[in-house]
Amino acid sequence: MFGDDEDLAVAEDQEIEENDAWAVISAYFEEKGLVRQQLDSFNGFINSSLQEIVDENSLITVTPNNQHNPGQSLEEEAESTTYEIKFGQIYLSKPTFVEADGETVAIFPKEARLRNLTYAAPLYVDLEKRVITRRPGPDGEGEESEEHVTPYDKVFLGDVPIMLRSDYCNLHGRSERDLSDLGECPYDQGGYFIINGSEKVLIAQERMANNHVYVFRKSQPSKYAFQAECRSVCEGSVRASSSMSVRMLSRAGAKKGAGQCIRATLPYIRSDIPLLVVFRALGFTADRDILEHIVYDFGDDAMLEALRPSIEEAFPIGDQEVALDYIGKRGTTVGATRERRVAYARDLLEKEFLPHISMEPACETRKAYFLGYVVHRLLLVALGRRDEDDRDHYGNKRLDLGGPLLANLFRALFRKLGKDTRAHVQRCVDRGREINLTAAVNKDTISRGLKYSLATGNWGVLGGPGELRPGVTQVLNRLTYASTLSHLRRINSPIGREGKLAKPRQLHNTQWGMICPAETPEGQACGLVKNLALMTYVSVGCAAGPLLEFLEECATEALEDIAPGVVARATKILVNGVWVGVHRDPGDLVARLRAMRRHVDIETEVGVVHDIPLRELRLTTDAGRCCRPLFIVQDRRLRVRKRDVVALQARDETGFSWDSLIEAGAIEYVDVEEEETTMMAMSIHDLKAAREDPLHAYSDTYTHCEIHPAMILGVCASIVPFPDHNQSPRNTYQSAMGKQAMGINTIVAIACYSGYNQEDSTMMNQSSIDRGIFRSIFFRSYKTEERKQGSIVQEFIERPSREITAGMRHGTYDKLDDDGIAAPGTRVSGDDVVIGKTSPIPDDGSGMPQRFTKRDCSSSLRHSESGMVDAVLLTTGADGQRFVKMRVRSIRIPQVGDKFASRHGQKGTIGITYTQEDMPFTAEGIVPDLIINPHAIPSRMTIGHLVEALMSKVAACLGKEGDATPFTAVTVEDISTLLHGCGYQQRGWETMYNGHTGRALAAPIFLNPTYYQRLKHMVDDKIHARGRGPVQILTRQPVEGRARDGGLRFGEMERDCIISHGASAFLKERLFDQSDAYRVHVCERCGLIAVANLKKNQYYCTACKNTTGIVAVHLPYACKLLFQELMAMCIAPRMQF
Amino acid sequence: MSAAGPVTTAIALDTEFANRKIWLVKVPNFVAERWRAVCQTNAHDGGDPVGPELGQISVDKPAAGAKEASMHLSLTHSDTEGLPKTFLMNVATQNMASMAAFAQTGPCSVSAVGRVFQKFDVVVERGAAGASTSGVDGVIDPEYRQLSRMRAKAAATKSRTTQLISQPQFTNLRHPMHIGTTKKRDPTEKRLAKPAEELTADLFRLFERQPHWIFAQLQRQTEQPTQHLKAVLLEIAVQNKRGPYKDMWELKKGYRLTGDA
Repeated sequence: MFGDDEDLAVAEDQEIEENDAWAVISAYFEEKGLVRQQLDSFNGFINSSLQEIVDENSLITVTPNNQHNPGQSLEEEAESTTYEIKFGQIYLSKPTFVEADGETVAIFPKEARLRNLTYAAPLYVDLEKRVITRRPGPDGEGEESEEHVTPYDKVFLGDVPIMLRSDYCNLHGRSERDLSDLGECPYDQGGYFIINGSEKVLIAQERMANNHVYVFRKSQPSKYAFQAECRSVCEGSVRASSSMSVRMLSRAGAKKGAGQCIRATLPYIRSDIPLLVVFRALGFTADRDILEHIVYDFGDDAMLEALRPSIEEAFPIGDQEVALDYIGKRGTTVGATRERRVAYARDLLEKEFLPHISMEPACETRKAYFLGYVVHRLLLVALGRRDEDDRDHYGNKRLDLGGPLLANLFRALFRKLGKDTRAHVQRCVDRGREINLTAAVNKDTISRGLKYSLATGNWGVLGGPGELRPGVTQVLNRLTYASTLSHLRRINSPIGREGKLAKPRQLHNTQWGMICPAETPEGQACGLVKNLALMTYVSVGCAAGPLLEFLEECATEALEDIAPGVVARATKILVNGVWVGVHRDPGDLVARLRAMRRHVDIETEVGVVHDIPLRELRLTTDAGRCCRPLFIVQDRRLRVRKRDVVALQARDETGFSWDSLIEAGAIEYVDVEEEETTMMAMSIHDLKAAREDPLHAYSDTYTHCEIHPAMILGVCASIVPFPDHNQSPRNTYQSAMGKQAMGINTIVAIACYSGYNQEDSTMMNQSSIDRGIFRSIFFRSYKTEERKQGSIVQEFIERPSREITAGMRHGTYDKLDDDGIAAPGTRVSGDDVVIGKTSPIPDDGSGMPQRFTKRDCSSSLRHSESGMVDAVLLTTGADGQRFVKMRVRSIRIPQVGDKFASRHGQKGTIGITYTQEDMPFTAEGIVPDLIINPHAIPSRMTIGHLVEALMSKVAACLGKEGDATPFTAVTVEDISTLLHGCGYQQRGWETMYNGHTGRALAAPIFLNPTYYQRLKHMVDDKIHARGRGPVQILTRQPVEGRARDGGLRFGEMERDCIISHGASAFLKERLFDQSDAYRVHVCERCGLIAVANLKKNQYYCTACKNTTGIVAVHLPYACKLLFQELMAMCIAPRMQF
Repeated sequence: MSAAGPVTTAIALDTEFANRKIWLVKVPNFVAERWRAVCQTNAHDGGDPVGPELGQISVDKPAAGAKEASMHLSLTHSDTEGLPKTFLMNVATQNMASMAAFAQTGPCSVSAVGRVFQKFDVVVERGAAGASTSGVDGVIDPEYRQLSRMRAKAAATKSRTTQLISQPQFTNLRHPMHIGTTKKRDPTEKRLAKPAEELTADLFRLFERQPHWIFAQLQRQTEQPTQHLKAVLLEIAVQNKRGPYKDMWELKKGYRLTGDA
């Protein structure tokens, strides 16, 4: 940097150092942000999927239906008319909102949030109506047809909710300044939707990859020993996946005499088909032909032998016709002729069997090769040459992000729309009415469908085919910035939470670098809900076409052109699970592919996996693969040069960006499967070691190098300082707590002092609290709108008057202004009415003058809260109704019982607060803000906590930032030395003096600054007691929950405890007198409940027609209810004494 | 394959050159396309029977240590712009099934051209001679890279995508549900009717502002009783019965500004 030019040139070509990686990392985050996967995926949906889906089923053809003979066309000879509706070009506007008075305005997210609107853009489509009239030609021969085309331009199709900060968002491309002018946080990254004012996140859904061949061993009770399966889905197709599996009988499952046959399961075929029958049906009759497709090497006797039972089993079915008939007989059609059965089977093999290979005719060769390959894989496992496939391998997983999820939903909705439109047109045609296309296209189908699913998270069409998948969207967590970011990077695996299977929950080796190892919830969803690591890139999918062309040019031999014998000597090439051909020199091909990809001549996203043991080259271009960037290593040197980093650091001038690094071939994205074919260096240092001393280095064939190992963590785990010094569950606990935390640097002593910090309680300095430590503001908003019920009843926001309003609340109405809304600045407390609203009581029709003409439906403050009205918003809602939102603010001051935590899963509540003079102090006069108990450390092994504290002290002394990144070379010894240099005891200990007595404490105290977090659990939100209060209507037992002023449950275990004490009177008091005591009158003769009129002292048993012998019985109301319910079922519970 | 059909026609097969040894050279598609075009133009122009020179094959001396000579194909024809110029010819004879070539010389005559004696796969050259075979990187022809890039780009740009419209249109949007909720009008208060001429003038002014109006909007603007407004409006405007501006009012043809469609 300070040398002359010559030195500079040399230096620029130098290898980068460990610290230079950070320039690369910051360039990545600056360019991509943390919610790129959401935005990319949604943009893909809007830009291409939307139009593709419309094009997929764009044509609706309607012919007039004969009313009296449905299904037949009207009259044969007369002219026939066909109506065609065609959906064409799609148009989308930027988000807009139509006010109730018809005015259309561009809408910004802030407004949508405040007014509880939906941030959505209108979608239009070009429609075309074509009326084709055919009539027989004049000479009786041929046909004349006449076409009449009516175009309908830009017909409104519905509203599509727009993801914030996506290409179609009104905030896209705005400067930071503009954003703050629009009321948006410049740090907000978008990636979510606003539906009816609430922010919704689409949670990525994990699933198994399609078109992969998986081989599994079946456990004993099964008839089969091994199963190879392939969920075949045609790329970008509407159709559901079509599963195919090949299974090998277990020894026990095989019939006497027969060996372990192999059978195939085909779609729509009821029973399993012997393997060779399927081959014969595909047109391969000779045993040798078939075997060639399965056992590539005829020298492999063991594998040939394993196929013997299957050959014998299929012996009677000798040719294609018979085989097709065999399959056709087991299909869904019953009683068809042989020709039809054969045709059915042929059609099935063409269209439904392995659709990802092809759905066109004449694909038998390729399907046979693929089927043979599936069997080959099965046999490899059956013969013990390979292990069964790993279900939890992350290379076998795909993530469905917002784009694919929305595309599926939109597809279902659009098909429903098409169906409805068709029905409407058909009706018009049949009744001879004019077809009004704008009316036929129901604009609500798509608007409502998308809104419903995004609002509720129930993914799918209501009342449509298939199940609704719950929990796909969630309300964006806004408690802290970290929790928001982490929420936007969440992944859900839709496996039953009750599943006892531990495997899918465990951290898998292949998740390294893709999934955060620490951040997962505890409890039922543990390991099923995951979070993306910081640098994970989820592929958006690219076209396979260019790749196929490339392969063709690189001397790949197509399957149709080769003899099966060639396969043994060549490498199979699979593109997205489709076997396209073989290649003789895979090494050269892979090198070419990689070289091209590294210069983005082929999409960077393409995955190149050269599986040498299997002799396969698997190329993947599909969406939803997890990838991550890595430094490329060539000849034990990084391809990144110092000059690249220098250019990157000055990217504002040079324009050198992250993408330039990729184009320069310095970095590439590697997906999970490909990662396994790489040799990765953990640090730049490892490469140096391999260069300098290859003999003693771990490896000298590195192909890649980690950018920085700290990038394996997710958003929340990255907040933990020195996580590499902690026991792993502690990082998990902190990752969960960080989502509900608000933090500040505090002076923490780890000490025992007076004993008020036992069992994870802490002592806090009251004087610090008074100075404002951990003070926070809590906001709650209340909203009301003038709803319209029916056509007459219209609610009205006003100050209810006691004279004419029924059902007034018991809180005070004095805080309300004349407009019925409490003014900003008003101090409000529990149960005060903050927004007054009434609804008229309709006339009862009796003609009598009513006392009350209105009913109160005001909103009052939560009864346990108090605060000050912070702001009031008076506006109109989505339907133009008056709409009021009010924000109430209160200040929360730390107090005994509030929860605090360090960043190492060390949480505790305040046990006592001491004023400064009662706290221990050091010779310098430093008094801790917080004293935690030393017993919190040894069993939890959170060394990171201590190292953080130590480094904080150094940082505070030097006024610098400390580096607490994991997997760096920082040692405790280094920090200690620095601390010693600052004039402190090197381990952070201090001699302290008792605040009460002034005597020195016997032990030195670990007193250091530490970043502490205040968690959202605060005593004021939880404190609850009740003497008497509201009861449930049905059972008359106390209601549940603090919000409803409910009772505290005296549960089974408490009951057991009292029983064991023998305190029966207390038990009766708890369970009866304090709960739902009730009295009934019972007829002694029949034991049934009698009628009692206590005022007149009349008693009467309706069953016995008897007025004597009736006794009063005390019993729980729930018991009386049970008896009555039983009586309703014609069971008479008699109480006889 | 002619024997496969039910009607068998005898075709004369000219076997004069059946034993001629020929090379089968598989060239990349983009080269083949270019060549075909060149040949076609040549045939079209009735050019010389020899045809233009397409490329040259050069046999290099075997490098030290290498067993076989390497062969290169270079495109020499002028019409190969944007294509890589030199290619490597990989010998693929050992993997080849025995093949013969035929040519259709006439409608009913086929002649054998020769027997394939050697097969070559032509691939774009990668890396300098003796480049590391570790497969990390090789220098690939820039023209080929360009070609590949264009291809990826063409595949990525969808022919049909969603189009952005800046001016949203509202053809069959819902009509306003209730009007004037922001400024609540007291229903007991009567609107005062203006003289018809004044109102007509007002209405013309409003129609200047926007060509289509919903009645309720007009009423809000003019503050006139429904009956009266309707009567005046009917004089100068019509309500659309169908089409994109269904139920909206627009000026009668005679009153419309001519420049405005």
